[in-house]
This record gives sequence, C-alpha cells and structure tokens, in this order.
Amino acid sequence: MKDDDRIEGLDQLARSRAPGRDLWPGIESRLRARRSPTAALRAAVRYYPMMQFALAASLVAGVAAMFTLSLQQQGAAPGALQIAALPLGDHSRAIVVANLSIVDDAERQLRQALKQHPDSQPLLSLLESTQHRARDLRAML
Amino acid sequence: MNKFLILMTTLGVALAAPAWAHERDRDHDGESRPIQEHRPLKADARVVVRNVEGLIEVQAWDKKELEITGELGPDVEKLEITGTESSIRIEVKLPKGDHDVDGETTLRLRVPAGVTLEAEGVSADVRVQGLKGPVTAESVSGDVKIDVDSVKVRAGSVSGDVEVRAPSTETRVNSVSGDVTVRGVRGELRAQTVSGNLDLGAVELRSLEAESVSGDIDLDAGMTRDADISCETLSGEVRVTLPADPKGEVRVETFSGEISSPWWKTDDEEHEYRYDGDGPGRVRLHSFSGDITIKQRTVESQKTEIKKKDVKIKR
Repeated sequence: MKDDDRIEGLDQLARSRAPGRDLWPGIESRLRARRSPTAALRAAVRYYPMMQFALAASLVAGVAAMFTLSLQQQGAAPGALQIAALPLGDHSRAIVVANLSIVDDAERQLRQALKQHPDSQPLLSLLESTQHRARDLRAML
Repeated sequence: MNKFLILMTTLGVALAAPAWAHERDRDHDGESRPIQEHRPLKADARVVVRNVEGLIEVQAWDKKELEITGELGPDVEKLEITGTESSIRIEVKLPKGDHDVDGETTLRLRVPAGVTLEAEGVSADVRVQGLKGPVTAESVSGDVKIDVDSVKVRAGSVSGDVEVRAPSTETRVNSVSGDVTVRGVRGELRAQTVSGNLDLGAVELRSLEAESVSGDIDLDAGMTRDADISCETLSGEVRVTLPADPKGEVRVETFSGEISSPWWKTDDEEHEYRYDGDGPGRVRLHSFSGDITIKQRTVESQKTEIKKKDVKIKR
C-alpha cells in the first residue's frame, strides 16, 4: 500500500486552501460504518432529548480540543501512537483528518452520555481513551 | 542600469537552479540501480533502516555481517550507510526540494538474528522475518508484516495493515485506519486503532489493553490466572473468547449496544453483566454503542460451570 500521489512538503502549505480534488472517495473505502441499525436506532431514540445540548457539547469539545493541543505541546501521552513522528503524505494526512473527525464525534457522544451518567466509570474510561486518540492524531498533523 | 543587470542575472540564476538540480538528479538515466553492499555487524548490533517508498525487507541469517541488496529508485540521490559494526544506519536519500521523483526503492537486508532493529517506511511496506532481537517497525501508508522470534515487538502504521506473529512478551501494535492482526504473543499486549480492526490471538496473556474508536476488536487468547484484560471501543464490535470458568471478575458493559453470551440470557434492556469468579484476574469489556459478543474458549461441557445464580444483572 502506498501514496501514489504523495506530495512531500504538503505540511508546509497553507491549510486554509481547499484540496484541488475530492479526497473523500479514498477515505471512504477505508472507513466502514460499524454500528448495527438497531443500535443506531436505539441510540437515536436515547439521545433525542439531549440534542438540545448538542451545541453546548460542541463548544465543550472545542475547548477540550484546545486543551489537548496544549497538552500535546508538553509531550506525548503514555501510549501515544509511535508513528506520530513520521512524515505524512497527502492521502495519509486526509485519512488522519477523517479519523480525527470520527474521534471528535465520539468524544461529543460520550460527553452527552456522561450528562446522563456522570459517574459511569466505563464512560469516563472511554472518554479518556478517546482523548488520548485525539491527541495522538493531532500530533501527527 | 548595472543594478538592473545584476538583479536580472540573479533572478535568472535563481529560476534556473531548480531546473538544473532536477536534471542533475535525473542523471541516472531514469533506471533503477542494483544494490550490493556488505558490512561487518555484531550479533547484537543496532540496525536502523529508513526508506521513503517501496519496500524494506529484513531477514535473519547466521553470519556476523550485514548484506543489503535490492534496487534504488531512478531518482534516489544515494543510499546512505553510516555507523559502525555495533550500530549502523541505512537510509534512502531523495533529492531535497524535488517533489516529482520516482524514489521507489527495494531494500533487502540480511542481518544477524540478535540485532535490535528499527525499520521505518513512509509509503514503503516493511517486512521482518526470523529475528530474535527487539523489533520496531513502522510505516505511514505501507503495510507492516513481522514474523519473528523476538520477545519485544513494536509495530505501527497510519493507513497500512499491521501483522505481527511472534512469541513476544512485550508487544505494542497500533494503527489509525489499518487493520491489525496479532498471533502467538504472550505476556503484555497493547493494541490501539481508530477505525481499523484489531484481530488479536495470544498464547497466554498477563495484560491486555485493546482500544478502538470505530474498529472491531476480536480476541481469542489464553490468560494467566491473574490476567488483567481490557477491551474498549466506542462504536466497534467486541468479540471475545473467554474460558468457561473465568478466574476472577468479569465486567461487561455497553451504553447502547447489545450483549450476547452463551452463558447469560440477554434482552435489549440489559447492558451490563458482572461475574465474580474465584481468582485475582480481571476482564473488562466496554463499548459505547458497539455490540459485545462473548464466546467460550473451552469444550462444550465446561460452559455449565458458570451458573445463572452467579450472574448479577443490572438495568
């Protein structure tokens, strides 16, 4: 497996510029939806009352992201992905960005669930793991 | 006028330099060049090898010597070999500042089995076979495949798949979107992924931390009596094979997923199981929305050892 269209030095380009082509088809083939339809339906029903808090949760997640970025600058977390130091090509960078989006979304869902069950150790443990993954992925970019 | 001429000349040289450099780098006639290098190498030396694209293949042999064969890509600047017989570094160098290059290089190394290996690819696959010393192998978009007798293995990739087969007692594997397969390990295993799947098979684990965000986790492993086993996922599915009589506590919890087990009857409203067996071991299986499936590891007759009265159901 390789980056056929790899562009070295991409990380030096301005990130505000949109890519010249659609990167999603390549990413989509690697990302598989894993939630069963019944679980998704049940989760949707469960979360409906909490949707009004989504905006606030997004804000919390944004602050958390800034916090993890700050931690990232202080050093790698225990268990951080070892591959964080390797240079990324454009395809790999797009994959990392897409996965970061998955992780951020997961973190938002966990924070919503924690509002219902603030003392749930499994949820707190999952949140901690998710924050570690987000930190690892941001360190790669 | 003189200033204008000097300025124009400087500009002209500056603009022409990259083009000249590009032509110089292509003086290899656009063809791959064979590699044939030998260096003395101690049996316990440290070997670091880095390739940008193509392949890194490392195999053990019975000589106290390093052999490098393969092919350099047409635009590769050089194969840099530095260090001593105790610690050596092999690196494929591409021309700096030139992004449109064909650097696809095949590196085939043969090394003493006991060396400590660090292999690093960018879009290169990494394959390691037969070593007994510690192995670290990573790639960004390449696949990583390790089949060794080492007791310490670390392997990772961003988007490539990772496969480890080793009797390793200290194993770390990770990926972002690539699938991870582990076989034959024992002792401590730590496996992490975001959207890839973890397929973990172990002889006997004392400690496991398996984590994913949306990837599935499959675990089939023997466990020590005091094993500390943890599998966590957000939306992936967890499928774990447990002994029929777990030695210690078992905690299975999901927020909105489903739990199925050959021992415990379940319905949609039950999201947590607790079993307290005799022993210091601990098994924790957690998911947020992913389903958790438990299978028994031993023969059919043993599954009755876990009696319904031992199981406390919540929610």
